[in-house]
Amino acid sequence: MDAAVEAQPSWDERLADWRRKFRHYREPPDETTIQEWIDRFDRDDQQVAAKVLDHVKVVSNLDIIAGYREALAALPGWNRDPAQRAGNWYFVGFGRAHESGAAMVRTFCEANNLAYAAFADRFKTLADLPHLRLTAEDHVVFIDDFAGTGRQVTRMWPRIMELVASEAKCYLILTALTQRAQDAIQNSTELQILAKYVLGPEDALFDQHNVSFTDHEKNVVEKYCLIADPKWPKGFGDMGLLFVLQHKSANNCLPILYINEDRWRGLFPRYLRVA
Amino acid sequence: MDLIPINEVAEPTLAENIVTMFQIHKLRKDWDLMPTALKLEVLMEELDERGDNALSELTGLDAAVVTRCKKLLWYDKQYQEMMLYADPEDRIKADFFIELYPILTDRLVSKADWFDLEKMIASFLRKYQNRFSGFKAITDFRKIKQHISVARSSGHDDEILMLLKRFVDDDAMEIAELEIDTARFHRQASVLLRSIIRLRDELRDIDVENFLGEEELWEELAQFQELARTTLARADRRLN
Repeated sequence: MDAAVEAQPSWDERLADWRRKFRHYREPPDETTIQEWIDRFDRDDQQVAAKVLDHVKVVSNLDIIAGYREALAALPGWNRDPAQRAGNWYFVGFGRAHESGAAMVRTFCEANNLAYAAFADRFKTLADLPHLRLTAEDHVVFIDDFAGTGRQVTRMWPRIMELVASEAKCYLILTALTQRAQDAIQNSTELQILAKYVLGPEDALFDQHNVSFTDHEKNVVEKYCLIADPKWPKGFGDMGLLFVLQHKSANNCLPILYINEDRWRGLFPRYLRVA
Repeated sequence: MDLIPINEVAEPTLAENIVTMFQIHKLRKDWDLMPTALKLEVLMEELDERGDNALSELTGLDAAVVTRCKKLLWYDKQYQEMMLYADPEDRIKADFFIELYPILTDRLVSKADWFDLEKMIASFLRKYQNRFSGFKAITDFRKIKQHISVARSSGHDDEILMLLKRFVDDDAMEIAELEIDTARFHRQASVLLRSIIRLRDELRDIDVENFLGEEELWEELAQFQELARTTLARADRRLN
């Protein structure tokens, strides 16, 4: 046995590595769950399944907080002290009450130490915008966690413009977005995007420019994705992302990672099952 | 040249800005109804003006559109946000809330001891989205409103409230089961419908030049047109 082979970790060590890597997910999988997931693949395909897990990135709450902190600090004119602030600043969770944007506002507040009464009137909803008398001196910061295709943002932009109805500067702070979403948002809106992670082809298994996986490996993965989600086997937008936020997998991820049904149990369920 | 002449224009007020935007939009693509309603709300506050006709004149919006906007503004912010974020493919748009409004604000229903606004909206959202209770189209809300109005005018207040309460909770109960004594109005509507069709056919066939001197006919026709217009408006029907 040569030295290179000896350096390979044992299967148990790999399981332990994956458990550590995935520990930040809201319902972290243990070694048994990971092994059960691998066992869903035919024996010949299990090395591909293991390779998928090697490429998955789970973003922790601390990463999200750090990203929100860096993003706000990077905005020119923002200051905690209203006397030092340029213009009026407002923060709006992007999306409906039950969606991620509204929920991320709380994390954003914690990240930037804004969860005080003094800042309460800075946080608004979309319906509040026409009442704010915004001018070119003002700033509206939309907050969300993730943009996969950018479709929701670009679709909403004309309505947002009508509600902002001024030259106020609009920003979109995200934890992550794909290069595709970034291009779409930059091409179709005047939003300035700030995100901790911009995901490229290597984060998206089915991206034609992804070179980490061979065509054969992509076909193997797609075979199991078809079982997990026959309607969107490559995930929404055909991306097959390998990127998971600690609180929820995006629907652009590989379905074998997040589908939580009898036909397939992903390691990072997007929707929790009622016991 | 040392001096450049300028035309100094005073900064427009918020109300002036919004009115200008409404006027621009009149010539361009219409706004969606919910953003329009929110703008209208700001205008109403700024000018302390709530009259449909005055607002219609100011904004260039049809008075019926102003009425529809005001119905949307009646809803709580969470529902306004729902409309703002509505996807084009969503079944739930402003029209849903506009058609639901007459039921939620019906003087009999809204005073019922079991009335719970959020529960009612949630129930109708569920039924409409999933096509429960025989819901097929947005206009089905008008049938429900008609059943309530007919029952009330025929003195069946308690009965219709009991049925409606069961309807809110029971997704298997059909809209038609709310019908009490509606048959006589159906009969009256059928008679009216036949009369209107006959009149329409006769009007279509006349040679106008042969009737030019029939002043009474033209005056009656003009009054009929006005009555038809106001009746459609009372029924909250869109006018072209």
